[in-house]
Amino acid sequence: MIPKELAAASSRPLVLAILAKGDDYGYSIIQRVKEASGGQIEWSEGMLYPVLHRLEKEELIRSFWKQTDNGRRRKYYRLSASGKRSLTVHRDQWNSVHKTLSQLWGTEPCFS
Amino acid sequence: MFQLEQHLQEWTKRFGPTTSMRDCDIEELAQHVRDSIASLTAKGLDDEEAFLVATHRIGPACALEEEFAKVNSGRIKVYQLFWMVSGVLLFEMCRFFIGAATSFGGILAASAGGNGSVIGYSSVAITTLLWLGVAIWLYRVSVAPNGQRSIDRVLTQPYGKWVGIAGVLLFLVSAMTKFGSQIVMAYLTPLADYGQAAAILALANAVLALLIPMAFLFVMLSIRNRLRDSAIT
Repeated sequence: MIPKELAAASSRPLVLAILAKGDDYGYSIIQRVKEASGGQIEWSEGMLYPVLHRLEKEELIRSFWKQTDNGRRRKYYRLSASGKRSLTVHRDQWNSVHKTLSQLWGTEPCFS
Repeated sequence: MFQLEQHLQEWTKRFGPTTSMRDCDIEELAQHVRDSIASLTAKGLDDEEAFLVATHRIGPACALEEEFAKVNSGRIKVYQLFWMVSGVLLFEMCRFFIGAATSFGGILAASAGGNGSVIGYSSVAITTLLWLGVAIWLYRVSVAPNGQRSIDRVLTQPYGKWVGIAGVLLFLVSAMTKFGSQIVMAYLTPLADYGQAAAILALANAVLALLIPMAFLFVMLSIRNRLRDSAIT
C-alpha cells in the first residue's frame, strides 16, 4: 500500500495521465487508478474532487456536464493543451526519480 | 424498505448552505456516491449496505469541506462579505423602521396636545421598546439548531472575546460622542437655531437613510450574482 503522502504527490500526474487517454469522470478515474496500480494506490475518494477542481482552475483540464441514462448529469473532465504540456513535465520528473532509484537499487526495475 | 434517494438527499444536507462547496460540487459528489452504490450492489450488497460503504469511502463531510475550502477560498471570502453586508443592511432597515415609528409616535403625541417633554419621552419610550424587541428577536433567531448560540460560537474563538469587547467599546464611545454632542448642542445654541439645524439634519438623514440601504442592497445583489455565476461554471 502506497502511503498517503506519496499518493497525494502522485495524484496530479495520475489524473493527467488518465485524462490523456480520454474524457472521464471522478468515480471512473478512481477505479482506473486502483486498477492500474493493482490496488496499491487508494485515495480517500472524495479527495480527488478538490484535486480535479484545482487542475481545472489552473486550466490544465476542462469540465463539462453530460446526461446519464437515468436523466441525471455527470461531470466529465478533459485534458487541455496546457495539461498535455504539464503531463510531459511530470513524466520527465517522475522518470528521473525512477531512473535514479533504479540505478541505486540495481537492475531490478521498480515497475514498468 | 431502504429509500436510497431519500438517504442520499439527507447526506447532501451535511454540507451546510454556507459551505465552501458549490451546489454543483455537491451534485458531483452525490453522483459519485450513486456510481459507487451501483457497482457495490452489482457485487451483491443490498442498497443500505452499499449506501453506507459508498458514503464511508468518499470520506467525512468535514474533511471534504476542508479540502474544498483550499480550492474555493475566494468563495468563502465572498460569503463572509455577503453576511457582513446583510448584517449592516438588517441594522439599517431596523433603524429606518424604528425611526419612522418614533416619528409617527411623536406626531401622535403632538396632535394629542402633548408638550415638548411628553413628545420627547414618548419618542424615547417607543425607540427603546422597539430596539429591545429587535434585540430579543435577534437573540432568539441566533440560537443554532444544536442549541449553541452564535454569539457563544464567536466568543469561544481564540480572539473572539477581544473582538466582542472591542466592538462593544467602539459602539459605546461612538454612541456617547453622538448623543453627547447633540445634548451639548441643544444647551449651547438657542432653541430656534437648534431646531433649524435639526430640520436640515433630518432632511439629510432622510436622504441618507434611503441611499445607504440602497447602496448596500446593490452590493448584495452583485455578490449574489457572483455566487450564482460561480455555481454555474
